[in-house]
Amino acid sequence: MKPRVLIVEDELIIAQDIKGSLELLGCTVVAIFVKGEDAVKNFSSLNPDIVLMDQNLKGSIKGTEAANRIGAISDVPIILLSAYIDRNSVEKEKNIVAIVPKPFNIDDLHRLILETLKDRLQPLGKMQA
Amino acid sequence: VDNSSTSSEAEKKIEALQKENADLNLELSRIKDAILDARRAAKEDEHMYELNQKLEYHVNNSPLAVIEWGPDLRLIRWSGEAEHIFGWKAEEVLGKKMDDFPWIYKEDIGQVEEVTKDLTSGTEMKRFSENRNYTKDGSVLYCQWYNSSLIDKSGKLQSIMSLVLDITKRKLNEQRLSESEKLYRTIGETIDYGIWITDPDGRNVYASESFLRLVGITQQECSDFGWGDVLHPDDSERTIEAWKQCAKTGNFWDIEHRYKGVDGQYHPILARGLPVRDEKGKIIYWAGINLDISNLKKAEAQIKKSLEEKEVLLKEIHHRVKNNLQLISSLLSLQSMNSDEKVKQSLNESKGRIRSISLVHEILYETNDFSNIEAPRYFNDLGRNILAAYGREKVKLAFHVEKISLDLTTAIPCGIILNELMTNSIKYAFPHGDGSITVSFKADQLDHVLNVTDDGIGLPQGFDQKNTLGIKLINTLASQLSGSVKYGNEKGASITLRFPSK
Repeated sequence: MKPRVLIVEDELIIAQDIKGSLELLGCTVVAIFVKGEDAVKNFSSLNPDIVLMDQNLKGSIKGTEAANRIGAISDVPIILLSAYIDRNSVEKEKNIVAIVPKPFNIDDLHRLILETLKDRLQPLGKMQA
Repeated sequence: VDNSSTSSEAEKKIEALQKENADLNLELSRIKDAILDARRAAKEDEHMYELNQKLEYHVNNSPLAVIEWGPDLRLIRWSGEAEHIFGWKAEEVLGKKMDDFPWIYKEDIGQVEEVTKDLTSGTEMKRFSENRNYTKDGSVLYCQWYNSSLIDKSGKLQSIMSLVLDITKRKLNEQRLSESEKLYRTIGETIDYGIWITDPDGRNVYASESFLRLVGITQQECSDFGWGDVLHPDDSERTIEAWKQCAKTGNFWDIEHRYKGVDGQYHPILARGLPVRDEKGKIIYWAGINLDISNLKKAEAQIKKSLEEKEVLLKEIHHRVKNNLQLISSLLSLQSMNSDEKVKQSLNESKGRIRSISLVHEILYETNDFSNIEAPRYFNDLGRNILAAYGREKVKLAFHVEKISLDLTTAIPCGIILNELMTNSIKYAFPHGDGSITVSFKADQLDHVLNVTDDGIGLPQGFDQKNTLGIKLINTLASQLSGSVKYGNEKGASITLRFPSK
């Protein structure tokens, strides 16, 4: 079962880099949004396994606020990507499982995704099997 | 012989002689008395003469000038001091009337005539007056006159005597003092909120017009500590307390506070003052200034704001630079996705170099110091970043980095060199995957010394002659730092960069 990843990141080239790298490592990127609001609005129809959320976004809300709103409709785990500067000021929402400082190593991120989804994906796999 | 007649004649003769004798005796005693009287009188005269001589001496020697006029108001006495003060000799003025020579100051003639009239008419027997006179050479004197008039029973003037004190020096000093005071007051008026003087207990005795006008209180109110009422409520208690303390200790007074002006605004004022002491060191006054520092404060706030804005901007720029470098790194990643293994590796190495630069900007905006970064923080972050990038968690990293501050132009070349050296160790030193790398950075008297040592298989012969980009970068950047690199082997590879610390 390939992890289905939603990327919310305002810098599209970086998003494309993450998408390409993750797909090489065996993930499926379901969508990329540059605004938190769009991610919240389209979340249910995409139904990803995990969200990579940048803290600084194009729209009017920050990554943490978008995580909070998604948390209201789903228990999907969210990994917050943040510049060093935000790390201390970020208020960690319950559904944020990790805060990963940028720049990050893509293998580390991939490992973190698999680790986070270990318990979620396997039972699903078993049920399907 | 007619005895009887002879005897009677003799008797008569005796009688006559006896009478004559008595008369002579009387005459004699009269003469004696006269002589005695004459002697006594002579003695008295002598005494009077002596007294007179003494008096004359003292009058002539008096430190006050002694001047006397006779019944006809002609000068009959002109003492030594009079000669000294006015410059005319006695023989030049005796016998003259008051207006016979020019010694009364023109504008004061009226006043002098009035005094003379009062004295001659007997309206006043004693009269003090102060007026100006001229000396013989025409200069002006300030004199005090103590005048006495003597009038006989019939009401006729006998004499007027005056004692004269020359007070010119004192008068000029007073004048100079009052001019100097006027001068200081004027200076005080040119300063907004001006100058102030208090008594030793701190009670205001003088405040510049400019102060009273600007805060709208009277001198009386100011003396009754009314200045405390026009202070900003937040400053009032602190200031009054500090002032009491200052007045007690005699320290330099230096405080910033705000006064409410008649314009309704609070004005920041810098007050400064010093105790004024008498020759025994006792405080007799406090004197100081109030300086309106509104403009200074405004400028200070403006500079502060502008500085903050610029810091935000600088921060923004470093952030932007970092993001752009990250963007470049992502572009290289995207590029490498469709490339063969060799290109992929080259692009990955480039990403490592970009990371070395981007980390400098990240640390700069994060620490709010926009020109320098601390070596320990940078090298540590960079080292861990490189390990993570190559996914070599088994390699141990040790840092011995002194707390040295590096500017941008030094930090970036150092960072790239460290990146090359560590990357080299990670890629080639540990064929079995584990090992350790030690990074040290020290300052000696002249140089900064960066050393990277691993415990791997060591550098191959002629390593530094290799024409790889890594070696080229290391050598190029070392010479950019005016430094040199030494390649060697100890336990494993040990490479040392040495460059002058400026």
